[in-house]
Amino acid sequence: MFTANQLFLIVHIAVSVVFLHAFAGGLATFIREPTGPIARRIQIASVIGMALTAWATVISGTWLIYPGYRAEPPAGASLDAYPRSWLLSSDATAWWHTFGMEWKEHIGWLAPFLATAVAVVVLAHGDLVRRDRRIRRVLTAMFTTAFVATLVAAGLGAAINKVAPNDFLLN
Amino acid sequence: MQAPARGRTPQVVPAEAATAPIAVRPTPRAAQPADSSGTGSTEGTPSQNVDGRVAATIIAAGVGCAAFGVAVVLAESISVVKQWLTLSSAVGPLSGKAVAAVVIYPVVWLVLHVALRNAQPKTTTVTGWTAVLLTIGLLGTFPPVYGLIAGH
Repeated sequence: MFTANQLFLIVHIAVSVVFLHAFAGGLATFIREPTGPIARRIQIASVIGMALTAWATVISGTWLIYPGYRAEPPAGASLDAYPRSWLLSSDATAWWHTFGMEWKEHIGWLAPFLATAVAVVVLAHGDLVRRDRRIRRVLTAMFTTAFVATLVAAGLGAAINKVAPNDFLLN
Repeated sequence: MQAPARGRTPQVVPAEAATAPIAVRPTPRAAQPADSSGTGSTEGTPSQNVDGRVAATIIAAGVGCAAFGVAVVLAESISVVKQWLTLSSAVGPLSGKAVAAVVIYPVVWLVLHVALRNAQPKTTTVTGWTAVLLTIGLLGTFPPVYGLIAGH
């Protein structure tokens, strides 16, 4: 079966994949006004899905995955199981932590606030969202910023996984 | 009697048509119910003002982002703050930055909701404040910016 770290990784990746897919459905209903009940349902499902998965992604990433990444190796231990220390051990790879991981761990946290606001406005003020083009533009901008923030975090995470040893995630 | 033109159906125009008033049917847009939010907007039409509760929700999201960005800058700039924000030794100061923003966000949202619930602020004002707050969040979480502020 899966180890705890493998389960954490699966949860973290699964919720971020749902997040990225929820964006596509939601964006379509903001660009074009949702006219029918199906489009309205897609919009509601997308914004709720995006808000919930945004919180699940940052919480699982911060409290389940990140501790393994930043763990300090005991004296004399191989750095292969300690990606942060492994990256910082060489000038050639230190940038991946000082810029890549530092940006990833922070920018991802902006997405839940933005996605939550979009979901609440759509759920509580759906009539206004349907009628007012300017509000839809504001929500589209917030929705897209949340998506781009998550995309940056996900992209950096994937790249760091390729550069640094990720034994801690797979064992 | 003149024969009708080939391929055309002869049209009979009633004599009163020339003087009858033109009936204007209400368009579906005009027939829609009044704006329940009080913004006065109609379908597809951008309004100048926005419901205060919507404004509070949107601005609060910007406050959450800005709070997180400021927490990052403070933690990187002041070692005492960094220690103070280290709520979990396994997660490090990121734990405190996240908790601080997550606590500030709903509190500010509630305050803004109470303050703005009967107001109709301008949409441009709301978007302007949100853009400023979001920019603080984006810059505060960008390593070169907080590194520059912290003097790294």
